[in-house]
Amino acid sequence: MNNMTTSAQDGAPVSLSPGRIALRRAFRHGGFWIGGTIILAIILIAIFAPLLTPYDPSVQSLSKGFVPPVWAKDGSWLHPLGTDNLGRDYLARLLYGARISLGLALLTVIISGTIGTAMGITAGYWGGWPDMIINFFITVRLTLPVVLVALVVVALIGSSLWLLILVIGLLLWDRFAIVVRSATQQLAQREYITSARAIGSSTPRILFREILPNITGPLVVVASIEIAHAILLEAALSFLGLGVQPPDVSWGLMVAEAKAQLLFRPWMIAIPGAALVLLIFAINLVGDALRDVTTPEGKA
Amino acid sequence: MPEVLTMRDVTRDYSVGSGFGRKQTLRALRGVNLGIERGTTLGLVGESGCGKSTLAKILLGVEAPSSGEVLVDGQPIQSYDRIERAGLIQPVFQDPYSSLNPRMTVEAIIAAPMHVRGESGRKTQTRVRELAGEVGLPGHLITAYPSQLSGGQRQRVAIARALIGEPEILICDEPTSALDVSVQSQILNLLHNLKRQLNLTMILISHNLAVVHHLADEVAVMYLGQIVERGPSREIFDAARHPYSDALLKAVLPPRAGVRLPKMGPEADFPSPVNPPSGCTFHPRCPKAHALCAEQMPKLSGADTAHSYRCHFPNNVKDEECPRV
Repeated sequence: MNNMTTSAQDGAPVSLSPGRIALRRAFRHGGFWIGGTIILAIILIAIFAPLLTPYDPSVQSLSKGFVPPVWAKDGSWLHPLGTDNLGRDYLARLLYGARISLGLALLTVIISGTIGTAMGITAGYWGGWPDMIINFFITVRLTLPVVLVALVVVALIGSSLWLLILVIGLLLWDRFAIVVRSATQQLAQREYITSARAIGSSTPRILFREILPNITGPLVVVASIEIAHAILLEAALSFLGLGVQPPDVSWGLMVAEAKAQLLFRPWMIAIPGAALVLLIFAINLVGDALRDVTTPEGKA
Repeated sequence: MPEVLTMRDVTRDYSVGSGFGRKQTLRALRGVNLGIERGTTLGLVGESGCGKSTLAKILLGVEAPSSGEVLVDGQPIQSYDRIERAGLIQPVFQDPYSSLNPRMTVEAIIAAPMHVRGESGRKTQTRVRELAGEVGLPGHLITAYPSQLSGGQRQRVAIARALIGEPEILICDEPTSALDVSVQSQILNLLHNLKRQLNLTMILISHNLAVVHHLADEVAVMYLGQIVERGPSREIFDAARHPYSDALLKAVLPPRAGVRLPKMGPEADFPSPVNPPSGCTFHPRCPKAHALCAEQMPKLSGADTAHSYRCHFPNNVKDEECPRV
């Protein structure tokens, strides 16, 4: 018995699941707080964008092009971050841009996480020839340059948001597969897996009840890395003109559109760029914190 | 009494050295014959690597034998489906720190065999609580997670999980060797009492001879995938025939002051099961080895009696009775 068992009012001890314990430790982790706060803020901004700005991010007003931001000489609070060359409110574009960047990253990671986890568990649990085949796929995937493949696919089929999500999702599963495979291999040696087989458990039961809950730690860490990865990849593709297409708006697209103004209106490229940096930084902070928290300290 | 468990000529081969190297065959079990009567305890002893755990895995149906057959209640073990088999044979493993899923509560762990059978109602819940009491687990720990339990408590959980399906056979693979000495006897007493109450047949795998002496009715000594001697516990401990059994018995350290470390012990290393010695596989380490031992594998003597052994020059047997070929 240790301090993990706390007493409730009636004196009966209350037990915390390992997941709860990890969460508790996360809330005592500074990086988790800082990163989590930033991410939460950006998520709230993305959700409540229409309430935060009166402007539509895609409505043009050519007579009001290139209004300077509030801190410049002719700036006003009417357009706090100014407008772009087509007279679209820059703050509105920034707020709405968060929606696509976050939503795309989330959907992408759901796709790639599902593929990678399925492959990793299969390879790690069965070993033998399934492992060899999956390893071959992982190796092939690792030899493909992600940006190039995404560019080719988008260039050939044409760009749409859903295609972009699918392409990135189908490309970024490698790290999931590798990490889950090795985590599963380690678990498969554990006696509780042998026990599960000895009590007559079906294979799905072993995979979903015994193995999956015990690899959530590494899984969550990889997911955080891959969300950041997906956001950056979307930004890169949008910058190259093959990602998010107008009139949709994403932070990568804003950077791309502002690149002509780099020397004259540097804030136009700096603002979406800084937003990207902040988001990625926050996600990495949380990912690091989760890794610290889920790494066992001599606890099984 | 009828045999509840019978092994006939069971061998188990593993293929090792895959990759670029030449594939080799590791023969973990070489023709094991074993019968166990209902309600008895068989102690299985031998050093690490002799095939004890492979034997356990085959009995549990987790691994299949390469050849030979395993009969449970007279039926081949393959003829039972996984749930029937689980209802007959259950394990208690060595390391209670690795045999319990850290993400499940004690209650869920003990109830798992019932859940697998599709029984998860109020009855199972009550049974889990009853059983937790029977194995000496404090009631409030039922909602705890394994990380909150001590080694002894964990092993009690493992025992409860093994017993909830009311199996006939309990296979205990070194059930106490990962526990503190002070807890070992508690667990052993618990196993002993449960065995008597429930009329279990028990296979006790151990290299701790004191444990075996305490619990086993019969003892089988394994060496390099073979059973080299088998007999009633008292006879093996008082008058072992096989020099290897003798060596194992002499290797026990008595906890008495002034007694020195035993001087003997097989000199050579444990042979490789990939490339076993010729003749009697024990001859490179045997103090009594003759030329004959390197040439011929000894036959099983006394196969029709309670005490059988595989040796050309057994202890405590008059020369003229020796089974020289």
